[in-house]
Amino acid sequence: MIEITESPIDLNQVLSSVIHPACGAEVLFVGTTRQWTEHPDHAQPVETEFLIYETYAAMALNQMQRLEEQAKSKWPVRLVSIVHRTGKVLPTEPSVAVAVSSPHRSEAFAAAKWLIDTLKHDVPIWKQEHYVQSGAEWIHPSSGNCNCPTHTTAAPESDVVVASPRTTVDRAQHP
Amino acid sequence: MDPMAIQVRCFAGAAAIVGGPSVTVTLAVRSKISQLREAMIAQFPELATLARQSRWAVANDFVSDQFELLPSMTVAMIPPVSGG
Repeated sequence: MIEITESPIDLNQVLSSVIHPACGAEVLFVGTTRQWTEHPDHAQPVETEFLIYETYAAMALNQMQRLEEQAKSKWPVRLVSIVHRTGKVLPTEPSVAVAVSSPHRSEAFAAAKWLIDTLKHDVPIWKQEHYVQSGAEWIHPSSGNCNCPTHTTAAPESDVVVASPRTTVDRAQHP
Repeated sequence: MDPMAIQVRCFAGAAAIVGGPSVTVTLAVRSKISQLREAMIAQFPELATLARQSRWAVANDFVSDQFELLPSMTVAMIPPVSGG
């Protein structure tokens, strides 16, 4: 199941979709919207009212299908599901779910971790944080600000720019 | 060489800067992605930081800076993603 949806994600359905009689292990990763997030411009965590997710749907689905194929070639996983939400998502609601099944647990954990890490680099989906205190901003992480294996080998210059890629826009301009 | 009009789809912070979901950039035929990027920065100076951090896509796939553009191609500017 590879899906982009504006509706709330049914986690039971995502998990059920990877059940397979040859598999004894299913891993379900769920990414939820944080209410409180550390912010480079503020000493204290900032409070999120909601997120807006935007996607380039045709390419995102294409990339997600490719991730499924790659995961199946790297590990003996049988079934893969990736569902991402778009539009408005409230704190504590799931924005993404990744489920993997395999005969044994270690490859299911490994594949699920690789899938979500790679999705967060290669699938064209963006979030706009709407803050309780004021305003909204699109989040465009510089490639140096994460610790995943893909980016720890990134060029040194990308590590310098952490705060500047955030593009601040007024909420009034972006309803 | 004759100029060609390339439509560039913009998303998220890039769409906010250019003021819409796409822009049209005029380039010489067989211009490369790197030249498209510089033309977009010339057209929208505020886009410079994001444009230099972005990847670019044609036909739903990422392409390199050296990719040659032909008339009627639609390019997508893919700023650093933040899904998940």
